[in-house]
Amino acid sequence: MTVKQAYVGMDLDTSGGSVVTAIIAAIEEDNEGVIVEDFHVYKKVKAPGKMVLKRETVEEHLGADFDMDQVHLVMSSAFGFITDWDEEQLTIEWEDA
Amino acid sequence: MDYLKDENHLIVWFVLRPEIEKELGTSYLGMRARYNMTTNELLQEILDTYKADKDKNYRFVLKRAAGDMEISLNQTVREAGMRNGDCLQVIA
Amino acid sequence: MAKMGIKEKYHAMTRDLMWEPKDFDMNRVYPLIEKEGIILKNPSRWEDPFRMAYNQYVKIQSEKDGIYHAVRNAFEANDGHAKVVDSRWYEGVKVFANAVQPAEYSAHRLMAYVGRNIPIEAIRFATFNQAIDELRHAQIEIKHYAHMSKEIDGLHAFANTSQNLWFNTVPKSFFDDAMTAGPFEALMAISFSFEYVFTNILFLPFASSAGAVGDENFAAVGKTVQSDESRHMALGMSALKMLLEEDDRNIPIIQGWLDKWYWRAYRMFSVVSTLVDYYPRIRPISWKKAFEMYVEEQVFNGLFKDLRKYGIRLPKHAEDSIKEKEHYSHVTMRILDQFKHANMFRGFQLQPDDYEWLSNEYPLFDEYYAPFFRRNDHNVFANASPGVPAICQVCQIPAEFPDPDNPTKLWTQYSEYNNKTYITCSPGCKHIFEQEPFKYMQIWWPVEAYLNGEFGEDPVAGLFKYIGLSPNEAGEHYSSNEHARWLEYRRHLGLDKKFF
Repeated sequence: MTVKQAYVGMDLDTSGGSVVTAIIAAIEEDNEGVIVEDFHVYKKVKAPGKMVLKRETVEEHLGADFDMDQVHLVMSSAFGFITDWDEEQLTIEWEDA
Repeated sequence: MDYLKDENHLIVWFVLRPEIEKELGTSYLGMRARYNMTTNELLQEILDTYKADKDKNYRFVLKRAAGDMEISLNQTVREAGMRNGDCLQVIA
Repeated sequence: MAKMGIKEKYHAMTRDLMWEPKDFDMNRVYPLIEKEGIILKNPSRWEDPFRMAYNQYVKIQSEKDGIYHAVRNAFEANDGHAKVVDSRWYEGVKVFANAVQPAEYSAHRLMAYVGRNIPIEAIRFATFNQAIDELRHAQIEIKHYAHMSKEIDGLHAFANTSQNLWFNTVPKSFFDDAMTAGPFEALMAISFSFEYVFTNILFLPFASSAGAVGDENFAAVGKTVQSDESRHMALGMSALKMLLEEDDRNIPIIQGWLDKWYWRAYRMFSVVSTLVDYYPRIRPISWKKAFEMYVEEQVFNGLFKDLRKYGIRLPKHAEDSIKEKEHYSHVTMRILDQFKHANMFRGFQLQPDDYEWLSNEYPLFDEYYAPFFRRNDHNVFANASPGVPAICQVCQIPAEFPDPDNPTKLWTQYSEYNNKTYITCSPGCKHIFEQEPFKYMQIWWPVEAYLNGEFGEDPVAGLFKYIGLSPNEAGEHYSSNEHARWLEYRRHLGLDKKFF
């Protein structure tokens, strides 16, 4: 029996504009197997099993200061356990899926 | 007004099967009834609600968790053992 | 001296602040913690993943509000409602306005109840944040439809309608059910099943539909509300995990709650399937696909896989909800159509493009559901029910869900309790009823109240007086004054002209 891979991820509000574009680019850079699904008013970004968002990488792509607090404004939803979140990064993962 | 306060009063839920179910998937509908009315009178009122053909033969079935009970037409609602809140199916 | 990081700051603001009561037994200070049989051994291990202190919370929430109200103001100032592709969309918005806003409001009380009764520091601030969030949602939603009420019917007596409309007993009973459970069950009911599983479908695909038909205001409502939900979901998820890890004896209790609340929330959200499949004239997604993504993928194949290590299995009737995918929106729309003459939001006559989309997306639609809707083509009230319906004793929806394995037969179930027969709509609801029959036998049932004479003898006039609306606010949309007003407004703006 093939076991389907479980994904973790977040739904990002596209009215967040360039911040959301930079977040997606950062996630694609720092994680393997990332899939982005476009629902126009929001985009779903997901990765198999674990996904990390790093402030530094977002800043590189954004070309401006980025505070992890800004994630609250654009992250409409998340799936997976949020196992760590501080000034530098956010980690979402399943432990056993 | 409190219809159920009167000991002679009950509310029953009815549906006409199978025609109605097949097309519309309707649930039971509610009506006021009396313990001293005959089951035939009750059936006629149900048929009136649907404007159904009164010349046909119908089975009158009481639904219970333990299983269905056929209801005969020449007795009172009380004699038939009906209770407040009962579900009745009229089957053509 | 090194500056404190976010984690240390959060810890200092929220931990070790409550003193142990020396003169009182903990169980008197927290009288509900033992009632559910839940065992807590080391609550100081619990963590809230969002870790926000007060000033961070208010700063973020204030920014979110600023962003949202800018969108709302622009939409209102620019006659946004006149520019949606089809005004029938607003009948769907009425469903949301009428059912969701009171739910948001009551959720604040539930979270305050949870925060007060569970002595776990890590979740205290989070539960009170959530209580305020729910009030925020209720107020955003009221403000949203306060403006809309100038243009659309049915919302001007919303407090009265919440109190008295038969349709509203569905969401109200869900919250009453959760609020009368113990605090841990209440937390699981709301944070897990309602927030984590189902609000995604409500606020995201529905917001997507709003965007597709041109209602940018409502799309913004969806996303701003759902951004708070992320925090709520995280609270629920971490609470769920902690409860399972505290003690093995918690596991069967939690499993029972997951079984109950998955199905309870699933049935309550049935109307949302129509908001995705029927009300939007342009449909970016179907209920079926949204369910596959948000429930099957993210919950069954995501969360529940992770929970297997605790000995947790999928919710008891998960399989039934998957089978119902092909039917859910059609069955629910069929129920609503039969009673649209007596409701505060209207049904509408399906158009050729509607039949086409439904037929393409749902292979069973033509055989099982199109004939029903076609009867409306020449008479919009052809399907009006000749009476008032029996509802499921648990979910309170008219018991008209078919058995998905045999769709011409209804799935109605019968239970015997206290010398009375109770009906439920499905095995899922029957199971819930039979676990707690004393609870569910106590529901207030508007139809029964009406038959008993509680709101007068005239069925139609009595009902409308009772809910604070007039009969012309019910019925069919395209033949209504509301639609005529919308067309006139568009003419006035020049929007009736087609340039391409």
